[in-house]
Parts: sequence; structure tokens; C-alpha cells
Amino acid sequence: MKHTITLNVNGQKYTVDVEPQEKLLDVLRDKLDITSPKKGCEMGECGACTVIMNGKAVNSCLVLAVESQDAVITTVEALHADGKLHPLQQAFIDAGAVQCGFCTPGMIMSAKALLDTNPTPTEMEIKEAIAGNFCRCTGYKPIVDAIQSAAAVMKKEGA
Amino acid sequence: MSGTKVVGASVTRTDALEKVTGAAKYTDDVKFGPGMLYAKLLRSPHPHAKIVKIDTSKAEALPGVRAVATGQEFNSYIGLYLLDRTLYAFDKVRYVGEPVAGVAADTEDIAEEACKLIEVEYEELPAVFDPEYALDPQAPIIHEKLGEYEYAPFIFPQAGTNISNYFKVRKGDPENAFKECACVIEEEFYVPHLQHTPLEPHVAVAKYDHSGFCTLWTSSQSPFAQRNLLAKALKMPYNKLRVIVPYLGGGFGCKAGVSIEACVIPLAMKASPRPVKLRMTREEEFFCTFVRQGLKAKVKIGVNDEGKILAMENTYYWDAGAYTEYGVNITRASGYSSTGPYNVPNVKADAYCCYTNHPVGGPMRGFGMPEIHWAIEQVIDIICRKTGMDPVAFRAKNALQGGDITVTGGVMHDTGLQKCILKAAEDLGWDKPKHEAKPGKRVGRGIAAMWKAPAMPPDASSGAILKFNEDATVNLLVSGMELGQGTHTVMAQIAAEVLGIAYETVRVHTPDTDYSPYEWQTVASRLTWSMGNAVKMAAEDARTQILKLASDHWDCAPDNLDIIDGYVIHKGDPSKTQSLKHMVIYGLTNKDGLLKGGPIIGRGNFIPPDVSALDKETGQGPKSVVHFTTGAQAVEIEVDEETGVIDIKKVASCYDVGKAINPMNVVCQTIGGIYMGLSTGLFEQLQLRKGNPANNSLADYITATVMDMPEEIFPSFVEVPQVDGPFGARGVGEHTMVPTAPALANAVYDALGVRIKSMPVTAEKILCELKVQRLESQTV
Amino acid sequence: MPTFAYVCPPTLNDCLKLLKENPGAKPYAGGTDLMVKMRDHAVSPQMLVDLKKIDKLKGIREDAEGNIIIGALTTHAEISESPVVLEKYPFFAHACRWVGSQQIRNRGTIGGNICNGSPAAETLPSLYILDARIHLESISSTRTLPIREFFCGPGKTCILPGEIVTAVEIPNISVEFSGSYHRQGRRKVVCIAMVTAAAMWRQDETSPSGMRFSIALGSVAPTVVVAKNAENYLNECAVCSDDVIEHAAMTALKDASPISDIRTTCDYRNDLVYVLTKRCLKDIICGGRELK
Ligand SMILES: Cc1cc2nc3c(=O)[nH]c(=O)nc-3n(C[C@H](O)[C@H](O)[C@H](O)COP(=O)(O)OP(=O)(O)OC[C@H]3O[C@@H](n4cnc5c(N)ncnc54)[C@H](O)[C@@H]3O)c2cc1C
Ligand code: FES
Ligand code: FES
Repeated sequence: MKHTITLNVNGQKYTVDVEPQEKLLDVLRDKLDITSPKKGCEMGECGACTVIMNGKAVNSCLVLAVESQDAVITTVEALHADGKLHPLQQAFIDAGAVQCGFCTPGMIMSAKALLDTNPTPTEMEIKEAIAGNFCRCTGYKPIVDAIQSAAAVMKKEGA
Repeated sequence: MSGTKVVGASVTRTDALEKVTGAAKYTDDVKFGPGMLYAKLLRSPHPHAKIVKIDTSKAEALPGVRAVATGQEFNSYIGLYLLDRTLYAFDKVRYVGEPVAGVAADTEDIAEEACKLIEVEYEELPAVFDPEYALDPQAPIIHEKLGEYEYAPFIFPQAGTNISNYFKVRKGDPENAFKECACVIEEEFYVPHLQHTPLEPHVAVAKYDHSGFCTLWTSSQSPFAQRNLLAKALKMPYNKLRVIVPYLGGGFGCKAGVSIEACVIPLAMKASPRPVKLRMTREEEFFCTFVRQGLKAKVKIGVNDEGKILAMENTYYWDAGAYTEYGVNITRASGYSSTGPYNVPNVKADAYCCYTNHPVGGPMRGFGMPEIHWAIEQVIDIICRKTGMDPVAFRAKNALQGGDITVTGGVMHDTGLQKCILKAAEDLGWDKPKHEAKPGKRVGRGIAAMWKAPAMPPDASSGAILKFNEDATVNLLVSGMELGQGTHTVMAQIAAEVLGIAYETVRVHTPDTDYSPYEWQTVASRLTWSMGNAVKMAAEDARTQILKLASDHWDCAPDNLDIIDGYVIHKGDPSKTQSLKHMVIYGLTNKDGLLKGGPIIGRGNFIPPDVSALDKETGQGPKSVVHFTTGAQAVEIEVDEETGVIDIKKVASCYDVGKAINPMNVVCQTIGGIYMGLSTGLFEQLQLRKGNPANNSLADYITATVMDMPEEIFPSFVEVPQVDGPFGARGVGEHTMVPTAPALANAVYDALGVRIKSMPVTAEKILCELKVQRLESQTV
Repeated sequence: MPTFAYVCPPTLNDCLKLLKENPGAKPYAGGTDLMVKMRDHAVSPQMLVDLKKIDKLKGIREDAEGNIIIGALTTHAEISESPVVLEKYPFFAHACRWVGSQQIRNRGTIGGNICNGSPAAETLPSLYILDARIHLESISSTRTLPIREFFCGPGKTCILPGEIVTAVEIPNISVEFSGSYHRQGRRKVVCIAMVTAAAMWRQDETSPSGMRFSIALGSVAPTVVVAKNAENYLNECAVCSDDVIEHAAMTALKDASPISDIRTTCDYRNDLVYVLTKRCLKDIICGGRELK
């Protein structure tokens, strides 16, 4: 049986019909054409599908679309909406934290969820926040560096 | 090569903005509308069996099913170096997971359901799971028709056996040389199957229209190899098959050559004109695309009392799987690189590419080098331990230098290997005391050196087309894939350097075989060198055209002109400057009032100039490969004596890149290579049980996370120019993972005195060896 | 994915009614186990009853007696950051932090972890030694079970049809105590444990050392097991010296019956039982302190 759900993705309201078994990841990608969350495993292991749902980083492959009724969802597309790069995006570029880029949208979402609640994370806290985001290219170090420097920039901008 | 502006600068990656904003499109992101069909494959449950009968009628009758394909209908052979592979199995299946039939249907669920309705009758055959056993005359033969397959001239299949390639080296007189040695060590090593595990699983979409024109969108490292192999197998004119490759979410080799594409096109042909999408699940990805081959290696090295290597005798049994169309060349590479990066006067090497009933072995980052160095570099460590020689000094002493004779009898070009070894050791603090171990832990250090050549046919070539736009921005057309290694950036830098324009004005994007020039494949770390040469040539071609135009316009010699920051200038007359804008399309008016010029289009092509064949019996020849990139890596670890768990403290590495076109990219490749080297060294292994994958998911196939990475990394490089490379550059993508695992194993020995000869170095294996060690010390 | 009906009842009562009326229905909490199992076709419920709107199942509270009641829907992230849990039972908060990744901890619940019934489940050894009590409710009844009586096999629990877990209660410990949790997976994080171990002592004047020990081990038997032999040995010792700890850890092997699987071998699991038990004991005894 189809359900009609209304959800807020990246500041826009969408109303879509979904089957109960449809995953949030598939609905975002196939029905809303928001393709930054990637499909890497569909079982919660790789983190490529990470989005922020109601303030928390989640694997959108493990979330049923029907559950996102009234949810507020953020993907990396939202960060650049006003044409200005988010400090995390800029830091990822500057630190060499992007190679093939397939992990990048999910990685940035995990990082953003962290910085939104903990603006001055330790290196360990950063690692913990992205441990569920696999990257096969970068060796992670540039990513950790990028998040650290984004945090510093955001602190400065906020201050 | 000083005086360059953009080449040698750590400029921002050209693709970074697209990737951090989510704008970058990967194959699975491309939309094909509501007409698209979804494909699923029925796979063999048996490692080796005869197909007695296939009945697809029930599947075809299922509502929503639009096409079913089998090997009965599509029964051609396909392959890169040896045409031994089927699109869909016919007559026989040779590994668990082999495609037996495909279904295209309105939804994935229907396609999956339909696969279950296909009835296949098999007659099981005895199977081969060990490469050494594959050579046994008693072993079942996996490819009866090996003698009839087409193959490349440098591959040597042995008809009537399970050996699809046999590469031999006979150099000097190893037998006698071993007798002169003060120390001879012979050991056996094992490397399991791995899977590349790029974050993006394979996905391909094919559309075959009513005119017989076929378009393939695929996550491939090799659009032109795809076209070449598929058009040939499916008997299509090459210009009626168009291959489009968007961004790739990593490849590491498993997206080279052809894999799932061979299954999707037949379905598209039958479901014409609807597009058909085939996407691997992560579970399929592990054993149904390419895996890294397994290796059993026997390595024997002898040194004299001065610590000079006199002889090596190495045998490599590659567990190459059911089809070796690609793997045969890994075997060849292991042969012509069989000694590692050392000057060895006497060599006997035998490399066997063995058919087994395992998943299809294919290229993976390092192309056989991580596997053979795993063995060589540990035997060297054993020798150093036994003779009391310092592992760094020993390697530096025996390292190949420019002018030395390589294992295949050619002359080694200039190389910074010795510097790399010393630099990696220095950066690790080899001569300084180790950091203090925490209670219950032991600290150890290890080092390993490496070499690797681009393994490719002698005629692997590159093309480049450079087009100017009205505003003097450039579109650089190439077909080398951007799979994360940063090749687009490097190409933009080379073009900008030659043209005297800002590199940001050069756009390099993903290829389409209808419009982009030829590129053999994105493999072998060959792009910077090969495609770089083509791009440099294309830029020079465009530059020549521009200067000619301006020189005609000003009526002066082109030699007096230069291009700086987007302007043609006259070196002797500051009043003469001409913006590239406009002129690169609309030309310039000469004194006589007539227009000259037109759109500037630069053209470049490159083919390796001087690689020669090697003798079949001795493996000797003047030039086996285009060049070798060399390097070394040192590792410091801490091991928990009670659990065997390893903490990686420090890694230092150094490679000779010839010229770092983009130093930041080199460093990023190095860190990424260290990660992959550690991940494969510590954890990765595709567990195969009688040919069945036991851990084909990301929950069970363990890779390193951010937490498993070293506390400190010291990446560096040296630049001994490659004379025929663009600005002196040579490749460094794969190399960075080659020495990691053996350096790690050597560090474990240093810490605990136990030697782990089978990869990966798990905590469990360490503890097991420690227990043996304790028992032995009690009995002594 | 199989197809199913999805409902998200607003109250516990509605939920329990739905579960009673639909025998093919399954409660759905964070979905981190269920989604994976449905994708693998390991379970195919006809209906998912999403618990997420039921406020009664949420939150962590401490009652007047000092018992901590953790709603079944509480996520691992919430538990690991909960001030009251961190203060009273830091090792348990710590255990929850070991679960999967941040994303998984943000979704996965304690109720799901328990009901999924994996012998490797992160929360269980700690809940065993804490003598946790499972609150269960169906449309017609309410009951409470000690966690030690809750499991009957791998993935098998004593939940009756129509029943759900509403909360996990950690009874107050009125005497001095100390607990610890250790686990080892195949890599540092985001991996199912090969072995888990939790140990604790509580002040007890009747035992020779003044301490009564509890030890639970995970991933070494079809369900989490209590290391009875090791506990008994320790409870009879007067002094908890290093030798005693060593011997207790060895004794724990008698309580484990691990198997070899794709994660590791039986032998290595035994090695880990010894090491992890020892480490837990060392943590809580601080090198052979005598309590009395
Ligand atoms: C990538 C990944 C990593 C993981 N790592 C770990 C780990 O390290 N350690 C670990 O222990 N687990 C791990 N897990 C497993 C899982 O996350 C946990 O078990 C989690 O606690 C399950 O909770 P849930 O709310 O998601 O359960 P669900 O998936 O919603 O439910 C699980 C089962 O419990 C039932 N159920 C749920 N709530 C109730 C209730 N209140 N009453 C009755 N039945 C109920 C459901 O019907 C279902 O059968 C991991 C999972 C993934 C995907
Ligand atoms: S696709 Fe969701 S975690 Fe991998
Ligand atoms: S950049 Fe390729 S997976 Fe992270």
C-alpha cells in the first residue's frame, strides 16, 4: 500500500508517494533526484548514503522512506545552496580530502552533524564521528585534517 | 626542469568543487526515464560443472520480464590478452557466481524473481582450488579449448594444461651462484584473494536502438578497451558502439577491462530500444567482477659474505581463477619484475598463471607487485636478521641503480631508489631509539623497497585533443579516467604550462568514445606518463598554431613570441601583445587585410617508442617495459603481546616520481596507498570455501577504518627525471601500497620474533605464532 | 526487499493491539538489524509496527530507589551520552559506544539490541552483570524478566507473540561496586565483536574477599554466558592478587564454548576470553586490592 509522505529536504518541502519497503536513500535518489547520497552497500556499513535526519547523521539505506514523514533531511546539496561553499567543503578541497569523491557527500554529512553539536571536537571525536564512513582512496588523514581546519574556520567566523 | 609555473605546483584538483557539492555524476546517478529496465543475473552455484540444459521459458513468461539472455545465444569469447572468457557461460561453468543467464525486467524484484524461474541442469565436475595442484597432471582441466583461444604474442598458454601463461627468466648461472653464497634462504609465502572494494559498486546501462546503434554508460576504467573487446565479441562495427563513462567512485583495477558490461549489452539487444541497467550489489561485487588473484610464492635468495645478492630462484603460482584473460599479464609482470628492485646477476624465475575454479582474477593496484614483494622483501629481512646486516643498508647496497642490468637483461634507467630507501628510513627515525612500548606491548620496525613498471602491451597508446573556446578557455579531451587519482588536474596543469594559460581555464572531463580520443586504459599508473605526453604534444601543437598566427599577424618570426598569462607577447617589442581571446576561434587579420586562422585545435598522440619482446625461453631482451617507478616504505608498530593486536605508530615512505607535476597529489596518492597497503596487510582477505565466498559483505570483509590508520605519516618523494616523461614525470598511483604489507610483517618480526608468511597479518595469526614460539622456547 | 504493510501507532496501546491482531507483524525500532535482515530475506514480516512515535518507550530515568529505567527506544548514542548512566555505570555507557558507527548508534536502540538476541550484542554482557530486568508488555499482560532468563538461543528470546520490550531496568546497587567491559573485533571499530567480556564486583561481607563477582561473556556460546566457574573461584578467594586474577581468567575458559566462523577461530576466541576477562578484572580490582 502506498503512503503519501511530506518531508523537508534541504529546505524544500516535498510530497511523494512511497511503498512501505522503499528506502529513504532510493526515494532521495530516484524520486527527488538528489543523488549526492550514494549507494555503496545498502546495509549500513559504508556510510556513503549518510544524510542528516532531524539533526543526526543516519545511513539513509537503513531508513524507510515512510518514516521520514515530517522529517528534516539535509544532504550535501544544501551546503552550497547560496553559491558559497560551506567551510567543510572548502576545507575538503584545500586539504586534499577528495579523490574519487564517492564517499565525500556522506563524509561531509557526518562531519557536519558532528560540528553542529560539537564545534570544537578533538581528533578522536572526529575519528569517531567518521568511523562509519569508509573511504578507499584518501587514507582518511586528509579528511581528519579537513574537518579540523573547518572547525577552526567556523569558530573564527562564528566569533 | 625548473622554470615551470603550474607544473610542480600543488594546485587545487579540477574535480574537487563538483565532488564536494554533490554535483559530480556517477553512472548510477544518470537518469534514463521511466522506460528503463533492470537486469539481474542468474549465477552458477557450482565451482565447476557442465551445463546440461537451460530452460528459460518460465522466466520469459513472467509478467514484466522483457528479455532473457543466455550463453546458448551469446556464445562468443572475450578477453584482453587471452580470449578465454564467456559473456554468459555456455557448455560449462567454471566458478561460483559465473553468469549463466540474465533477465531484464520492469523492476529489479521482477528480474530477481525471474532468475529463480530459470531451470538449469548441471553435471558437477571435480574442481581445482589450489594453483599448485592445478599444475598436477591429475588435476581436472578447466579450459579444454585453451589451445584454440586467441592470445597476445607475449602470452604463452600451455594447451592441454591449466597453465594459461608461463613466464620464465633464465639469467646467469643461479645454480653455481648459490654455491658461492654465504647465506641462502628459501621460504614459501601465501597471499589470499582480495577484492578491490571501490566504494562505488559496478554499474552499467546499455541501450541498443532500432538502428543497431548501441550506447553503454558504465563505471569503467577503460572506455576504449570496453569498446574494443565488446564490439569484437558482439561483432559490431566499432563506430556503432559508443561508451560513455561518468565519474568513477574508485576502481583500483576491478573496473579495468570488461566485466558486467558483457552481460548487459546482450540484454539491451534483446530488449531494444529500452535502456537496461545492471548494478552489482555489494555482495556480488565481491566475487562476480574481478578479484585480486591469490599467490603461492617460493622465494630463494642467496647473498655472499659482503651482503651482495648473488642469486634468486623464485616460483610464483598465481591462483588466477576461472578466466585469465587479464590475469595472464599479471603473471608476466611478476616474471619480469621477479627479483624486486635489486641488482641480481643470476636469476631463475618461473611464473605460472594457473586456472582454478575461483572467481576471475584481474588487475588490482600494484598489478602483482604487492604480492611478490610480500615474499621477496620478507626473505631479504630474514637474510638481514640471520647475517646481522642492517635491513636499510642491505637494501641500499643491493638496490638497482642507473646502468645496472635488470632481471630481464635490460639496462636500468636512472632511478632514485637508493635515496628513497635512505629517506624513508631517516623519516621513520631508523637510527634513533624506538619509542617506548606501553606495558604489555612491544615495538617493532620494518622496511621494504619496491619497483613497478606499467604492465601493458607494447602498443598501449594515448590520444589528446585540445580545443580552444572564444574566451580562450580550453576543453581538453582525453579518455584517461579520473578515478580519484587526480589525472584530470595533472593533465590541465601540463596543458596550461605549455600554453601559458591559467590552469583553471582548462576543463578536462569524463570521456565519450564518440567524441574523445583514444586511450588504451586507465591502469598501470601510466596516465601521467603516456597521456601526459599526448597532452603535452596537443598543447604544443596548439601553441605552434597560435604563435604562427601571431607571427604572421605581426610579420615576425614565431621564435620571438611567447604566450604568457593568456597573451601572446613579442619578446623584443613590449608594444605587441595579443590576447588569446577571440583569436583562438576567429583568427587574426594580417597586414594584407585578410583573415587567417580559425578554431585552434591541438592534437597529440603517444605510443611507447622502444619496448621490445622478451625471449620466450629466457625472458631476456633489451627493454622489457617503459620504465620502473621505485620506492620504499618503513613502518613502526606496537603489538599487544597478549592479543596480537597491532597499532600502527608511524609510516614513512618515499618514491621516485621523476617529477611531481602536482606534489600535493603525490602526497595524497601516497597516503591513500599506505592506507590500502595497511588495510590489505592487516585485514583483507576474500575467504573462499570450495569456491564459495564466505565473507562477501562489508560487514565481514574487513577493511581499515579511520581508527586503524597510523598516528603519523611521513610521505615524501625524490625526482630523478624520466627522460621520456612529460616534464620528467613517471607514474606513482599504485606503487604506494606495494611495500606496505611486507614492511609491516618485517616490523612484526622485529617486535616479537615471529614471521607471518601468509597475508594478512591478523592479530590471531600473531598470537598463534607467539604460542608456538613460547612452546619452542620451553622445550629448548 | 520483501513487501510489507507499515504502521506507526501513536500509543503503546495501539501498538500492542496491532501486534495482537497481526501475527505476522514485527516491531520496528531503529531498523539497523531489521533492515539488513529484510534485505537479505532472512525475515519477511507482513507488517512493520514502527515504535518511534510511542513516547512511553523513550528516555532514561532514575526512580526514587535509584533504579535506572531505560526506555526500549533509547538509542546507543543516547545511552552513551547519558549523564546518569555515565555517572553510575560508565562501563555500560562505554559498551554502547562500541556499537557500530555514529550513524548506527544514532538509530540503533537498546530494545532492538536485546531483542535481536545476537550473542555478540554489545549491551548484553554489561546488562548481565548488572542483573538488568527486562520489562515486557502485551495488550493483556505486563511482566518483568531477569535478563539472564530472557534468551533461549542465538537470536531467540522469550518474547511471546504480541509482546514487546518496553524498557530495560538496571536495579540500583546500594553497596560499593566496580564494573568493566572489554571487547575485541577484527579491527578497531565498526565491527561485530569476536569476544565481549564484562566483569563486576559488589561489596559483600559474606564472601572471603568482601567482594562478590559477576562475569559475563559474549560471542563465545549461542547466547551470552555467565562465567560461573570463574565467578565461583573468585568468590571463594580471600585476596584478589594478580595470580588469582590470572587463574580466574583461565577458569573463564571453562565457561566458554566458542566456535570457529568467518570472523575468527575457536582457539583465538579462547585466547580472548582469557585476556579480556583478565583485563576486566584488573580494571575493577586495581592490582589486587583487598576490600575487607
Ligand atoms: C553497520 C552495523 C554495525 C553494527 N554494529 C554493532 C555492534 O558493534 N554491536 C552490536 O551489538 N550491534 C551492532 N549492530 C546491530 C544493531 O545496530 C544493534 O543490534 C541495534 O541495537 C539494533 O537496534 P534497532 O533499534 O536498530 O533494532 P531493529 O532492527 O529495529 O530491531 C531488531 C529486532 O528487535 C525487534 N525489536 C526491536 N525493538 C523491539 C522492542 N522494543 N520489543 C520487541 N522487539 C523489538 C525487532 O522486531 C527486530 O526483530 C550493527 C548493525 C549494523 C547495520
Ligand atoms: S549504502 Fe548505506 S551505509 Fe552503505
Ligand atoms: S575519495 Fe574515493 S572513497 Fe573516499
